[in-house]
Amino acid sequence: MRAVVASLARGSARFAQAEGSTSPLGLCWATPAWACVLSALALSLIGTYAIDLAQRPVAEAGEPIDPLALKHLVLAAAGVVAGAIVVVPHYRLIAVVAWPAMLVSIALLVVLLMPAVPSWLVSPRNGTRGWIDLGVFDLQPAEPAKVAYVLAMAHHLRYRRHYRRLAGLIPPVLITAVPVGLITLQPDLGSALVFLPVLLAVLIAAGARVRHLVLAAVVATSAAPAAYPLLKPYQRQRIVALVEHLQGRADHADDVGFQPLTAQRLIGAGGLRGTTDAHARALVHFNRLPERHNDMIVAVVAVRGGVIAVAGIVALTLLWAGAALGTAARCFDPFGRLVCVGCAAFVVVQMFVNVGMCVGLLPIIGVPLPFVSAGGSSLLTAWVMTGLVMNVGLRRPIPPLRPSFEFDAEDG
Amino acid sequence: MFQRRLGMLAMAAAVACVPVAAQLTRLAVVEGVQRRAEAEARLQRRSWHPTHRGRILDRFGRVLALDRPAFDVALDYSVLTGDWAEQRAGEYVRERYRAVWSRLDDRQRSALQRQAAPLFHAHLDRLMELLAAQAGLPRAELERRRADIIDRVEAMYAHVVEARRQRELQRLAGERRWWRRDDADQLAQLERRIRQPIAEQRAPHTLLPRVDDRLGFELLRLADERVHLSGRPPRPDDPAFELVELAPGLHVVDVSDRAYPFDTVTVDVDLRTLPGPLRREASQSVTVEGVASHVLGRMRRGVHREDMEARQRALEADPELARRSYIELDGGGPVDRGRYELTDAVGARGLEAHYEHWLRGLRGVRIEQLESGQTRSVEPEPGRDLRLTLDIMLQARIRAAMSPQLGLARVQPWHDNPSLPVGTALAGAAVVLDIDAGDILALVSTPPRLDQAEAAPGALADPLVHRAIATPYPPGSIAKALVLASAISRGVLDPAGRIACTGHLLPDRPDLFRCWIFTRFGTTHSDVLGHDPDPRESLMVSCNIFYYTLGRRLGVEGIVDTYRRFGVGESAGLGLDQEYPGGVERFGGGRLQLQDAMMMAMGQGPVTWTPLHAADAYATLARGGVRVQPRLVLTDQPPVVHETGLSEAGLEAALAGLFLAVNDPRFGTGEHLTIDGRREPIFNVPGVRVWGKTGTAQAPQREVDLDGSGPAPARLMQGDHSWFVVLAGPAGHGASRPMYAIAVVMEYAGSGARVSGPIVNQIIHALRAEGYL
Repeated sequence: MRAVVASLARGSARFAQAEGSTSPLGLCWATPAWACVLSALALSLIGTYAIDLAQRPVAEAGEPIDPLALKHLVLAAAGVVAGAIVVVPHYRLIAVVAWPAMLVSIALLVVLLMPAVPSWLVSPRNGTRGWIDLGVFDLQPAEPAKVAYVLAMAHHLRYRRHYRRLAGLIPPVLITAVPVGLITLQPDLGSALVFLPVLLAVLIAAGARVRHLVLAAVVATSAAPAAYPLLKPYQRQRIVALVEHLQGRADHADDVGFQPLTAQRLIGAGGLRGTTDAHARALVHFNRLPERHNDMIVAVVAVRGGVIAVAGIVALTLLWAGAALGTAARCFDPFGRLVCVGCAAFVVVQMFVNVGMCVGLLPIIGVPLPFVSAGGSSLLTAWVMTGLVMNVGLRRPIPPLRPSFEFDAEDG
Repeated sequence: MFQRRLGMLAMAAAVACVPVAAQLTRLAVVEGVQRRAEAEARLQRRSWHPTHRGRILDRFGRVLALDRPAFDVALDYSVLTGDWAEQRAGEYVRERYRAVWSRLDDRQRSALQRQAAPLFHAHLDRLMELLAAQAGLPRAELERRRADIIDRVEAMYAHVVEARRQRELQRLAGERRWWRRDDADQLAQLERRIRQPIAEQRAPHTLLPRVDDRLGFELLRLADERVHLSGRPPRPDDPAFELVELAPGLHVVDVSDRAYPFDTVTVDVDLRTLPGPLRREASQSVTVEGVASHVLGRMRRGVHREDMEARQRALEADPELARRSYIELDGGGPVDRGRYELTDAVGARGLEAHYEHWLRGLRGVRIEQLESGQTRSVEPEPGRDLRLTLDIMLQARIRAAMSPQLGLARVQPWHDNPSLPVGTALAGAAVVLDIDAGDILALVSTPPRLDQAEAAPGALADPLVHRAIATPYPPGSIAKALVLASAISRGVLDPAGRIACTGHLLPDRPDLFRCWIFTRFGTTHSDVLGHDPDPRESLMVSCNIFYYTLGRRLGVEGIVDTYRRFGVGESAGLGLDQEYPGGVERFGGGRLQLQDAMMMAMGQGPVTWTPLHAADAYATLARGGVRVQPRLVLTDQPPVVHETGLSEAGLEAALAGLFLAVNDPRFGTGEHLTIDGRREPIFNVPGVRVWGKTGTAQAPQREVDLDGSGPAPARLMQGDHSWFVVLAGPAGHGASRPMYAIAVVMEYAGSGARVSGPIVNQIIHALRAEGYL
């Protein structure tokens, strides 16, 4: 944590890295990326407990831990291994596979949409063709696509500066449009939309002109209402229900508003400090919160630990992201920098979207809470991102020691 | 620069925290307690149990109104058809095989469901067996009813589907088709729309109609129970471990209604007691409907917002009611056990409306704590009974006497009615008061208010009006007794003072302030009696000149005060709709003049009251000047008593005059009838002593629309209201005193003695028949 603060406060990584000890392997062990690992571990364990709480109405009966919670724990362990594997090759080597990875991800997303795919491989869940059945666990290709997207975008932007012009923003937008479009077609609008703020964050970090980005954001925001008629009826209902809840009405408490209203009731029930384990289990069970083990896990956490626990989860996620940004700050390599920023953006955006939807600020879209929500692909992806940040954090700068994306002279 | 950009991103994340923090604070801190309560309310299951409304009893405990409990036992359609079992089996296997469910294909899933379904079907089978046993019906009968319901609903469904299909085809024919005819998706969608279930397929259907409360309550209890699916004790691995409702989809619908056992009563009338032309050597059975319907009121199904607000006000006004009604439930605060559901019956008028919250019962509730499995029950509490002062049989007998069927309440030739043809049914009212307690023994208004007949157009009298308490009548001559007592008490008349009857009050105006004897016979009471009437004789002969004089002496204030002291201007507060308090004021306001006082002294002019006021005023005279507010409901509370401040001499003169008026064979205006030249006494109940006064009060003219179609044809109602007020007591040696006050008024009926006299006589017969005299 101190390293993160230090690097952010000091402003330049050039001085900080001299303090770090170096090992015979040429690795720099003193890196803020460790904070990522610690917070990821903490969040994974919290998630395991919360899933068990959500799934078992009575703690004493039956097996000592719910199968889903156990699965979460096992997958978290698998995630640690996957992250460790990702750490091994230098990130410059990983840059080589950025585009192939992106192409494989896109191919998987296309496979999901092909009508000829046998149903034992892809079968729709809740109307969404988003999962490939791999036997041991179900792969949600949209998740690894996030990693591939971060790598590809970092690779694309690393030695260029065309995005400093307005027209130069078009290629990054087109690259983003491919996964976003494919995921939207599943349809999983929520997962698709989180790519957009990530694109924005990466472009900001890469030094695109703020006024261009503001212009693009304004245009996109004002064009968004035009997309409203294109939405599916259930999506429109969710937006209408959200607006009504914010106005204090409860017209849809039994249909489309049931899930968010139940979540908010439970979050409120947790109060500041939460309640006992047994009581929390009963409250969650008898309030029949839907999707309580994945999308709505924040409500479960809130019942048990109150606002303090939710704040803790937000703080741990922000710590993860802060550590990633700190790692980026200490790294001179443009690819490494953008990978860290992209991963941080994905984790933070998903966290805010998920919490925002649980507390009733955003419409219900199926975005999981990184590390905490049950869901194999999401958990593994988050751990792979942790591995990537660690990878960047552990490498010593390679000459030339000129920091990238320093456009101060011509910024404006 | 890169660092600055990173700073921007960190800033953005920090900014995003703000709304999240604000919303979390709102949910958990500001609204936390309430939301905790809402969430915890779901940890309990409540089931409400019906109760019933209190009864209304007459003074002898005869039940005038009671709830007839009845329940319809209904089952959800899906339970009747067995679809429930398939559905629940599906839910059950999905939950049980949750871990692997997403990996199973449709074939495997339906195989699992098929495997589980028999357990649920067997459960439904046991339910039908249970219902048959509880209802004491053969299982085959129940199955037949079930098959009937399914046949009926399926036929209805087939019909609706066909109609929908035709409509869709018509719509498509008229529409430009942009999709191909063989577009399978579109057709499937269309078919789905057409085959949507109808409401009857989602609703419960009655299997056992109108079962009694014993079975109803028992089934209600069963509806709450949950059992293990197999009926065996649970083993964790057993698929039958699943907990299900013992009686899924069971609805026990409260269809209780309100019964009025004494609404229709048949009484025998001894025709030998009737006046000459009607007299027969026989008795007649008279059946009267709506005996106390004006008083009791009725119920209405369906609750309005006003009812709920009234309930709230009643709870706020009555802490005792609130204490009994509110029940604390964890989460959500106190709940009123007597709160209205939309289809509840509510007292709509009469005492049913006024005593709504006294009569209304409180529901029972059973609360099951789902977390701990504990249950708590509060038994339903029936509404409280309401005991009336009415004697329903006396009321029925009076109704019979006043029914047009008998003839007394019909225009007869000897009535000399100037405006209504012979045979016209007469409307009127009667009140019987128990003098000592102020209890209202009978409160009759004719025509009766029947449930079906609302204000029939063309009727001469509106049946909706409760004439005994709601119609303003001029008192007429019956007020003279009050004026006499008051004049003597105030010292404006000596107990032995005489006033000459000169035929007309003003010597030079023979057209104003005339005595009735002058108008009809051209003579004066002084001439007829051979001397000027004294106070007692003035009442006996009902001399107008005497009372004009008293009115002049008392003045406006004295007369108004006299009426006020006898209760005019104040309603008895019986709780009935439209009670008229009586009034002393000029039409349209304006100051009262001396001539108003003179008119009011003989019961005309700007004063109106009701038969209840009349009976109350005469009871006050009989009580020695103590006014006891009449009451309709028996309570432990002491009666409301007013002192009128009348002197003994005044009261004595008034009572003596009243005695003469109905007992003096020569001059008493209410002693005899003259029919076709033959005289016969009005009162013929042996062993009863009566005091009384007739009144023939000039009635306001009124046009009645005969066919309800507008101005013509209309009948002009005019003439006189016929009053007769009597105090009756057992005749005996020594000091006999009045025990009952009887007031009768017949609208536009003419002479007080000739029309109301025989009716009062029948009321005394009724008191005798019911054991009062």
